[in-house]
Amino acid sequence: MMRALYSGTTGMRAQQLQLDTISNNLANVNTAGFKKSRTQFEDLYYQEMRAVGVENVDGGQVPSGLQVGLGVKATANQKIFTQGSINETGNDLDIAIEGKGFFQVIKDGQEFYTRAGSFTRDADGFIVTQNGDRLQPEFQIPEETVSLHIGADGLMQAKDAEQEIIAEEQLTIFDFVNPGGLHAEGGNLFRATEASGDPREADPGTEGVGVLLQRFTEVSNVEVTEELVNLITTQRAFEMNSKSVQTADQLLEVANTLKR
Amino acid sequence: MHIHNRLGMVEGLETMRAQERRLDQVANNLANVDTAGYKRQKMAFWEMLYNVTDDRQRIGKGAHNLIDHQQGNVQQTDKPLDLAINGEGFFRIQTDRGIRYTRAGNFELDPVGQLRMPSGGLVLGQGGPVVLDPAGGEVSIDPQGLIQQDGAPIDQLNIVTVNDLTNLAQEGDNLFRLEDDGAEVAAVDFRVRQGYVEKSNVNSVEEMTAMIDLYRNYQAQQKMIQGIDEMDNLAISRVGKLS
Repeated sequence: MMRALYSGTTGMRAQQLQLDTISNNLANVNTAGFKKSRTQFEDLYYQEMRAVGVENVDGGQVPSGLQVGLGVKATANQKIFTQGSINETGNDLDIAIEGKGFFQVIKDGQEFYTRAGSFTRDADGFIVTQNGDRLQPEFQIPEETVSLHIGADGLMQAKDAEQEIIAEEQLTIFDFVNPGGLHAEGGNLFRATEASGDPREADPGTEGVGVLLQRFTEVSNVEVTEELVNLITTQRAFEMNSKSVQTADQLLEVANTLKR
Repeated sequence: MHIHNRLGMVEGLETMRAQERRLDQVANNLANVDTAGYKRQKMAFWEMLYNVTDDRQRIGKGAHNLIDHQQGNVQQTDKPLDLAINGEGFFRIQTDRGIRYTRAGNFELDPVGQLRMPSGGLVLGQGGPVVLDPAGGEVSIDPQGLIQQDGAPIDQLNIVTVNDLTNLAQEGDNLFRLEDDGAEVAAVDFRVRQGYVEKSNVNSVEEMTAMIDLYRNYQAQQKMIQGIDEMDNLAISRVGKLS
């Protein structure tokens, strides 16, 4: 059968995947710390279609190199870690990272990384994410605390009514060689993989990682207009690929009616 | 030279098959409308003399594909490792199968800091693969391909072109392969732009037009074959009849 049928199908499938990515980006337009994804494509193998052994009258070979491509494949869904805009919330436990880096949290004994810095306090006074996973290094806020100060350099200080420091902890953040290789786990969490490299721990503001901003959150880096334009081009590209399939079908119909 | 109507049928058939190949190509171009650095394929046809058995000759159809190396649109992405070449040239890529070439500049870092394509090929600088310090600061790349990290020069991208672009064959994975009689030459007229990616150069209007064109051509050849069939039919049933 004609390759065009299948090449067209690969194109439709690729555009469908792109649509899934765009929908997910749009759905998370208001998710704190969310990072948008982009689907990356590559062309598939090329089939060599030489007219083997055919000679022209001068005894020369027919110029070879008739290559027909077999369509497209999606290779990667890269996360784009550009900075989202930073909003003031006034909440003491909202921390935004301005620059590179992730917070580390422990969930079910495993390490995960996030940029969604809207934390809260659990029953024991530990700083946790909205899902109850503890921020690392752990910090237990004493009960008699009246104010909590988190500096740009990550120093967390709990003060009592007399402005005495009653507990202190250095918050560190983590960076990766290739953040694009992190595995998105859902729940705003990422997991380190072979492609992302091992996490590198640093105090905020040192070794190229970002600084902390207390009482701010980082919103999603999805831009609605950009996604909508991508949505339009995806839909049109899908339609064009469906035309390849349709035309291949029409050619087959013409071929079928050769014999009356 | 023998001439008989079988030849017309063979010609019609050949043209139909060529149009099928052309559709395969159009479908592949359209499937890669969003593939970074993809270059569209075109097909050239010409007439040629074939030798057939017992010294007969006939005119047949030759076809081969051409790659249209026109630059695709360049899109801003703001990712520091996205590079587009404005002008001539290709990034040199080291793969398991040897040196390959690409215009798809959506690069990333691997765990040891080597600059690579998403499919794994390593981007070559002047002295082997480009290696960045994963723990280092901002990477900046100037229009001549000089890579700097934290203001200190690291390497220069190895941007080359070939003596004749027809010696490049597409291999998949956004790569081009240099055929036997091709040779690399240094690229001169180019500017590297950081934070941009070159998109596919497929023009959807052209491809849709080609699709309409090849469809009608296919239909016309079908009618021709049917016409010859009609003549044969008449020959069989009418020749020798008196009235």
